[in-house]
Amino acid sequence: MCNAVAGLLFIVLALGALGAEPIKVVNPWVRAVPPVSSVTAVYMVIENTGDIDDKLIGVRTTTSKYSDIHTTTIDQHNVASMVKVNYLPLPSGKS
Amino acid sequence: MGLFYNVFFKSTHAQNEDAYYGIEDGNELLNFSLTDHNGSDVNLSRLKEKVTLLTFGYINCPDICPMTLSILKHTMNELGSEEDNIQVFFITIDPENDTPQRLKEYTTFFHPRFLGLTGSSEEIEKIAESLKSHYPDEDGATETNHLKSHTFSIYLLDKEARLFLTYPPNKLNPRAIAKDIRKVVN
Repeated sequence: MCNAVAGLLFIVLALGALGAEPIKVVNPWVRAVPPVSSVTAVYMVIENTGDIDDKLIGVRTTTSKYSDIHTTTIDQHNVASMVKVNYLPLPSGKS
Repeated sequence: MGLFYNVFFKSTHAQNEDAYYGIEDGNELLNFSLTDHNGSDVNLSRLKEKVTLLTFGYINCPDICPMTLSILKHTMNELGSEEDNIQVFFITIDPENDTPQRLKEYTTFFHPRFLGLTGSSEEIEKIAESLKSHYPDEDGATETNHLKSHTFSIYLLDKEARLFLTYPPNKLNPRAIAKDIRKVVN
């Protein structure tokens, strides 16, 4: 884990159901980047084991001023793009 | 900091001992003029000194660039003492922000022999075009979002400075790349 980002990460759910434990965060990790770089990525698997669809609507960390939810896409020319999204759907029974 | 998900990359292997793992090409490069992070000139002649691995990116890339440079680091580890036979260049697509000193700090974090290259936008574009590498202009950059799209590939150039093999996102297995390098060098 990258020391520069070894802080706490909070995820924000639309239904706030984390306390009831139907939402589980599995294998979270941070990509180590050189200190000269000011950004990195956090990865995790989010499992919704409950009966109700939910959404990830935000992320916060204690070590970074800004944090956003992104998706990474790669087009037919192998151009990779990261796109900021407002939320990630967390369908019931899926991860 | 961003949260990224859904990035899965397949590791494929060469189908037989004779085939190359990378995608074969034969593109001639146009001459270009860049500078490495130590201030030395890098042009087509410099590429003919050794077999070259080359990729494009930028320092504040949170995802693809550190992943690519980690793959190159692991490729060097696979080569062991044979790593002296190749040179590895990371060409910035963000020359305004990626100064030579910052490029040095960035590339050597992954491996002490990696060299960052910079230059004018025109010269960077020249070699990118030769390698069919793209980095579309981004609109809408904000205080929190400086992300740049760019081709996610590693290029292997032979000692004639021709593009010989390309490694797209589904062909980034360090061991298989190292095997290709041994074939090309020998």
